[in-house]
Amino acid sequence: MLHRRNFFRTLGTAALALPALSGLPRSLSAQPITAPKRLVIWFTPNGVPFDRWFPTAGATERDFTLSEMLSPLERHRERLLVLGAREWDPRYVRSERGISIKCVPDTPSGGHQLGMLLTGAPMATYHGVELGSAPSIDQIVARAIGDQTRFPSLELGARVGGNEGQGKRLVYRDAGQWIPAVDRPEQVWDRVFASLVGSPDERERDLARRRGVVDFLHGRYASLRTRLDAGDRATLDAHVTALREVEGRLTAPLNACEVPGRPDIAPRRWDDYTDLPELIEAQCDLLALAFACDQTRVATVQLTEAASNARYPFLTGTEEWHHALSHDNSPESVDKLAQIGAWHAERLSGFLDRLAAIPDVDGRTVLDNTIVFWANEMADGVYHTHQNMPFVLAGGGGLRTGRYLQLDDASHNDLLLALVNLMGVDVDYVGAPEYCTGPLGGLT
Amino acid sequence: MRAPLLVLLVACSASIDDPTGSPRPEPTPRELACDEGPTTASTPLTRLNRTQWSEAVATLLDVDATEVAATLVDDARAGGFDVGRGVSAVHLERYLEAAASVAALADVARLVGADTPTDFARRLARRAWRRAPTADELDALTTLHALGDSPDASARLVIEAIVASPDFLFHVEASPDAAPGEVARLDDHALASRLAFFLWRGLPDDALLADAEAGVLHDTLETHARRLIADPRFELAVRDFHRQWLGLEAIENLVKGETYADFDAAVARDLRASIEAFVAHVYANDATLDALLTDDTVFVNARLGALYALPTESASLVATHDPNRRGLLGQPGLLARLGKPDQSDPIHRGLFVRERLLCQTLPMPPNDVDLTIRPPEPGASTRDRFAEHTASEACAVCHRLIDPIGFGFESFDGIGRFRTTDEGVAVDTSGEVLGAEDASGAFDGQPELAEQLAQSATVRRCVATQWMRFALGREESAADACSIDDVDARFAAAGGDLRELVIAIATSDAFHHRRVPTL
Repeated sequence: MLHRRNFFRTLGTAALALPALSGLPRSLSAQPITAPKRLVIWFTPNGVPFDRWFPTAGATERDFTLSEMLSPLERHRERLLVLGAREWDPRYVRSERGISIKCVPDTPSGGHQLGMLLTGAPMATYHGVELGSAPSIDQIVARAIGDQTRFPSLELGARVGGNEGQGKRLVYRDAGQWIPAVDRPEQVWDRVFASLVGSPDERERDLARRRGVVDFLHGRYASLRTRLDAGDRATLDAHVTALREVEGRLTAPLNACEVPGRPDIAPRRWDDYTDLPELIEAQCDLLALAFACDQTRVATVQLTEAASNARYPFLTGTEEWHHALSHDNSPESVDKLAQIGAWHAERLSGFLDRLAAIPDVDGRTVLDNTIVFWANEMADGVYHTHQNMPFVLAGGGGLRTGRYLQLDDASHNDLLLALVNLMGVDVDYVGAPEYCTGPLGGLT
Repeated sequence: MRAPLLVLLVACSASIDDPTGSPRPEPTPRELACDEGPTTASTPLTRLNRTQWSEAVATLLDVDATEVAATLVDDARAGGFDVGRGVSAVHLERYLEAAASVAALADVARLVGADTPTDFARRLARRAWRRAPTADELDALTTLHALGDSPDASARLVIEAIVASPDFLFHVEASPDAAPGEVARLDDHALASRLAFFLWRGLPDDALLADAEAGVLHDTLETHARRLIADPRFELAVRDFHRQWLGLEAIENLVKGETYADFDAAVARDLRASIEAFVAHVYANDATLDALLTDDTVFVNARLGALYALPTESASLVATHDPNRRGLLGQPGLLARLGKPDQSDPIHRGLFVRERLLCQTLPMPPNDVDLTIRPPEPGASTRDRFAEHTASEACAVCHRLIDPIGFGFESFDGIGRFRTTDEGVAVDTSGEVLGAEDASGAFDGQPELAEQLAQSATVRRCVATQWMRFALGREESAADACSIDDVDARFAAAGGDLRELVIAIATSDAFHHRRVPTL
């Protein structure tokens, strides 16, 4: 069994020996093999202090200097596409420069609505529960390409802290249908890798039992459907769809796969965040392996939650809460926010390292064929703005990287649309159509 | 005029210009004609919430299912109460895993007894699904039984399948003979379930199922309701209601700063137990709204007693009296929950009264205001620092509805200890409730506020409404107004008796009827 901590050391040296992507069709002809594209959304909360985040622009797009907060990504500089405003004047924090989230309501609303970020649509209330009102882009893509892998998508998190409350709900299968992030690595392992271990006989017995139960349940759902009022059937159908997805995993061929050891990280008290580094490492390991074994091609990594009050004593030396810091523009607090942001950047950099270490079927690396979108629900935490959003793209998959792309008045819906299109999904708009003018140009 | 169902203080608009300080309530859409037959709103198809799932499994299999229930995806929250809504593959997987886990916990030999496999399946399914299984369903369960490679494994497979079934997971309610939008009587089986899941949080028992099967439950409803609340299992419902209404789970997670060095995890746990003991005490004695809001009992053990100046040597919680505190809003646990790590919290204390006791909602602060408050320092009272913060007109428009209530709690610090000075300044506990109909008026200190609220019909109706949300698993809407009127009138006529409130809800039109959902 491969110990988690050793996994990437192993991968670093022995990666080429992995049965990488063995589930993919391999052509024996001389035709060039096309690798699948992948999409990863990487989320961190609470906005950023602008002067510590945005790069310093040079004479050309390629000529830029990364800021303190983004400097841990320097080693992936050629794989970055940083997005920001042209001619930004910090005195006008609400001027529509760079990329703006336009579907934010004008009425006082808190500003941390997570359900707008990947949907491009305002939040709505569903029988008293506030939720996103359109599918998120990862799910739009998963719906188009998800049938090619055991998991249409994976939703991972670290210290999301449960799923109650809109600030924890990033991913929407459809309007009002949120998908929870799995923020315990052992639960991710159980979902993705548990069926890949054990002797073939044991696996088959276990799968047969599960299939028997699922068959039985299909009968019960069908029977219940006939008894329900027509107006309730859509809710039941959403359950049947979910059951089919689960069932698909019981029948899908299991790719040969290097299965890591099951993570074993003790849960901490709700206010003790000292396990955050270990949890993020574990989730990044698992996701990289899930890609290596082609278990999925679409994923979200949700670090904490919108308006998160995580604490980073291991960085800042204090017990101050992240959200509280984000509301304070004193130099001391801004220093701490910059430290936290740089640390998030380092985690992302580590994840990109992992993807760069996995050979893909086309002879390149998984990173070359993955679009990574680092997103935040807010721009400036003190003023709760949604103008000049601190968005960073990374990886490949058609992106023209190694650039700092400065934009004028761009809509975040257009960025979402461009990403969906780049993933090969042919749609005309994402979220609220009134904020879409067409796919954001300049990315490729 | 009856109090509006839910006063949305629309952007707190009118309040600045209006010298009476009365915010304009949103006009209620209608005065429903309450004499033209039952009215109610639709409840969306909902699963058991986690508490209900756990209770149902515990009764069904005689196991402690709490830990397994904790692995299910969190409930959504509607109107402040847990509801089993939302679905994804992750939700479904957790239900499947949980069903297998509780099947593994069950003492199969004892559960099956001398039954044949089919009889066992029939008995368990009837209980779990709150109705007799059909012949097809029994066939399917028998087929599944045959998949097991031992009698024990077969029985567990049957248990797993029954617990994973939608008929177990959902609150199944349907009206095949009524058109969409029509209001119809609940069928007896659905009514048996509603009643048991309301008052016991769990499955209906044999007596309820027998009346449901005989088709007489609508006639025996009140008798059953009285029987259920006389059973110790009703205490779980009381605890569960107050946990959600008052947000009590937050108490045991409280963390305070260096200002309150004596406040640790053990104190936080004791405080949660203390307020639960207070609620249980009220229900075990007077069980009136007045007692809930004004009884001066506080439960302390030696640790809490030392911290809150209510000395006792007892290691376990004992009742004591504190003339400085009245009722729920004087409980140290709640005041600590509504306190900042280093100081009191007038804003959240005021908001709590607005939302939980007056059923009023206030808008969020504007996106562009500075939310930081000057930190505590000697000579500057909390009241003064907070007043500076919300002095601007943009803030005051709403905060005048919040802060003057919260300032009345200033004799309690950030962990709910009684005090007479704050940073060296004598505390000023004068306060005022604005724009809350008969709950409005000036007061001085928490005990006076408690009396004022306890005498208010607005508060009484709000408490009735909160219980209604808990009973129905959804927010009320305009179509429920007649039922709420009726429940509130019975609650008032019973002198604010909380048990009669529960009976009134269980026998209200909104409870034993449903509106057929539209497409």
